[in-house]
Amino acid sequence: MKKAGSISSGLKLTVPAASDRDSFTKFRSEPESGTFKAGDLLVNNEGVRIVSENEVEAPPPIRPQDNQLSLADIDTIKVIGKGNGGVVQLVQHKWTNQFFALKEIQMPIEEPIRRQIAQELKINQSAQCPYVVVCYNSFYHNGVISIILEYMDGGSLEDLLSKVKTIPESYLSAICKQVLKGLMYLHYAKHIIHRDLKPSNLLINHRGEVKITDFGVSVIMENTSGQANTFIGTYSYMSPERIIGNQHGYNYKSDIWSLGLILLKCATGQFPYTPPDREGWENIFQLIEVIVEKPSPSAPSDDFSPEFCSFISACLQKNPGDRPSARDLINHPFINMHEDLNVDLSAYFFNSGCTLATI
Amino acid sequence: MATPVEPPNGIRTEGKHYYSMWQTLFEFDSKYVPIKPIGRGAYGIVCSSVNRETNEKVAIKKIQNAFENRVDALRTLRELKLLRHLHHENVIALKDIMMPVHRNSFKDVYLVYELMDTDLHQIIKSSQALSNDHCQYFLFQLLRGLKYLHSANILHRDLKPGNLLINANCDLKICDFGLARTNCSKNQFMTEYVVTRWYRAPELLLCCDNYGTSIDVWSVGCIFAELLGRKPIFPGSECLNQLKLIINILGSQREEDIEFIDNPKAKKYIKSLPYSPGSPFSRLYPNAHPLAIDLLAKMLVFDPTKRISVTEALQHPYMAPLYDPNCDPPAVIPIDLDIDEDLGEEMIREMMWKEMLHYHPESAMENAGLC
Repeated sequence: MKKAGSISSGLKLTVPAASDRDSFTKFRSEPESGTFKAGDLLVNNEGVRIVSENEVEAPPPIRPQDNQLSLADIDTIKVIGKGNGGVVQLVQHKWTNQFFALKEIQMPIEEPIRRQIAQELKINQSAQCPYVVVCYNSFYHNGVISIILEYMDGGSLEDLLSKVKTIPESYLSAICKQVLKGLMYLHYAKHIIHRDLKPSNLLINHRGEVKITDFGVSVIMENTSGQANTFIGTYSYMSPERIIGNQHGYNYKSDIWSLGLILLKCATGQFPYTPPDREGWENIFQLIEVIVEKPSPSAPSDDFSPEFCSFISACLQKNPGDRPSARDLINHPFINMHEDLNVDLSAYFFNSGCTLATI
Repeated sequence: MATPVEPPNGIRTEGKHYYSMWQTLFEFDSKYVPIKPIGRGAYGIVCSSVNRETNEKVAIKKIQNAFENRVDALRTLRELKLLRHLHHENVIALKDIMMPVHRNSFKDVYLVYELMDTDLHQIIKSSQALSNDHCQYFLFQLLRGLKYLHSANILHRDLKPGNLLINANCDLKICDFGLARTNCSKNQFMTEYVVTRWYRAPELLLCCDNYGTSIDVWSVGCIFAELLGRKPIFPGSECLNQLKLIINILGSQREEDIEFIDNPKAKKYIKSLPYSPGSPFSRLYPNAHPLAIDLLAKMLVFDPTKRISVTEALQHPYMAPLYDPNCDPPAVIPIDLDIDEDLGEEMIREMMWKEMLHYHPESAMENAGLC
C-alpha cells in the first residue's frame, strides 16, 4: 500500500472540535428535583408560586404562549404512544397539576428532515384553533427535540375504532364537522396541507372534542427502531394524484381524499381497500395500483343514508379538481342533517370505553 | 462530562466502576476510564474512553435495554457475529464486549470500538474544503473495504455517510453492520427492514426479490455524489418520491433497462411516471474531475445488472493513482453467519453471551469448569 501511503500522508482534515457539536454544547447536569408544597404555595429550586384551587372544568391555568413551561417543571407519568418519528409521554406540570403530552423526537442527522421538523415546530407554535392540538412549547436538549402538546385524554380515533369497530352516522357527522373546521383552519388560515391525515392523527378527549395533530410534516419519518417497513401505514390514506405525482400534483384536496377514507373506515369498520387475497398486500405497488386504477370506494347505499353516501362520493373523487374543498363540505347535507339531534360526543366517547386519564 | 457515581442498589461489583453521562448510568470494566460523551444514536450513547492497560483510546457504545425490541436485538447480534470475523483497514474493529454481571438477565450491552474522530456526514456538512484528492481517497477506501466485504459474500445494505467513520488523517472505516447479510444464491427470503432510503438502490425500492452486491454500489454512488455536491443527491420523502427523484436525474428508463424488475406492478408503476430527460452529472457537479463524473455515471445505473461492480470501480481510471490489486486479500469467513429471524429473547441473549466469550477467554475457561 505504498501508493495509498504516499497520498494519505499529504491529506489532512480540520476535524470539528467537540465543542462545536450541538449535543456537547447543550450538555448540562440534571436539575435538582424537589418541590415543597403547602396548601396553594409551591416552592422549588426555581422559585415560589401561588396556585389557586383547581375547579372542575376551569380553564387550564397554563395557556399557549404563556412561556410558563419549562422541562424542569414537568413530571413524567407514562408513555402513551409512539407517534410519527417519536415517543409520546403523558406528563404533569408540577405547579399546576395540568396534564400535557410530551413528544420527544430524536433529531435526525439529515438536514432536510431537520429543516422540516423546524418548520413543523414553527407552524405548531402559532396554531391557535379549537380543532387543532395545541403546542405549548418546544425545547432542544442533547440532540432531542421535546414538544409539549395539549393532552387529549381519549387517545386517537384509531383507539376508539379498536373499541367500537364502527361509528354510527350521527356521531360520525359530529366528528367530521370538527375535522372539517380544523382543515379549514389549516388550509385557509395557515395554508398548510396536512399530508398525513389518518385515524391515529385525529385525537379525542372527554369533552367530546376532536383535534388534528401531526400536521405539516411532509417528510415521513423513518422509524429508527428498525421495525419492518409499514408501507401500508404510509400509503393507505394517500390520494391518487399524490401517488402518481403528476405535474400539478396535490394540494389541499389531498387531505379531503384522506378524510373520505377515514370516514368510510369508521362507518364500515374496515379500510376501504382490501387485498386481493387473504394474506394481505404483497407489496406497495399492489396497493397503489388499486388506489390509482380501480374505481373509488363508496359507501354501500343499503347500509348508509343517501347523504353519507353522497359525502363519501364527493370526497373520493379521483380527480382533485372534482373534489370539493373543506369549505364546500362544511355545508354538505351530511354535516347538517344531524345538527338538531344534539349529538353528545362526550358521552359517546366515555361510553365507548376510551381510556381517559387515570393516574 | 463523566461523573463517577455509586453503583445502583449500593452493591459494587468487582472489576466494574460506574459513571453518569447525559443522565445515563454506565457500568464499565475497571480498565476503561471515560473521557466524554461523543454521540447519541438510535440505539444508545457513545463515549470516548481510555483503556488503562494499553493507554489506547476507544469508543464505547452502551446499548440500553438491548432486548426490549426484538428486531433491534437481532441487529445487534448480527453485527457482533460479523465484526468478530472482519479484519480490514477500512472496516471498524470491535475490540471488546464487556461481560455483564448477570448472564441470564442482563439488559444492557457495552461495545468497545476503535475510536475515530468523526464521520463522513459531519465532514460533508461542515465547511471543510474537500479537494479532488480527498474525494478520491475517501472513495478508494470505501471501495476497498467494500471489496473485502463482497469477497466474503457480505452485503452491507445500509451504507450512508453517517456510517463511514473518518479520522484527521483521512482514514475511513465502514461501520454499523446491523443490516448486513450474506448474499445467498439460494432464494432465501430476506426481511425488508427500514433503512435510510436516500441511499437505497432502485431494485430495493421496487421490491425485487433478488438483489446482490450491486445495492451497495448504488449506495456508494449516492455517497460519492454527496461528496461532490455537499448535499444528498436523492433526498426522497418516501419510497415513491425516492423513485421519482431518481428518474428525474437519471431520466426515464428504456424498456431494456427495466427488464430486471420482476414485480409486474412495480414495473408498471415505473412506466407510469412522467417522462424525464434526465440531468447529466457534469451539469450537477460542474467542478468535479471528468473521471469522477464518468465513474459516478457507471455507479448510478438504474439496472443493477449494468451497474459497475466494486472490483471494476477500483480498476476505473479515476482510482488508478491509488489502486494496487495485489494488496487486497479476500476475507475468509465461515458461511453460517445468518441468524434465524424467529429467535426469542432468551436465545438472543444466550448467543450474545457466547459472542462475548470470544473476547474473554478467561471467562470461557470458568464457564467450561462450571459445566
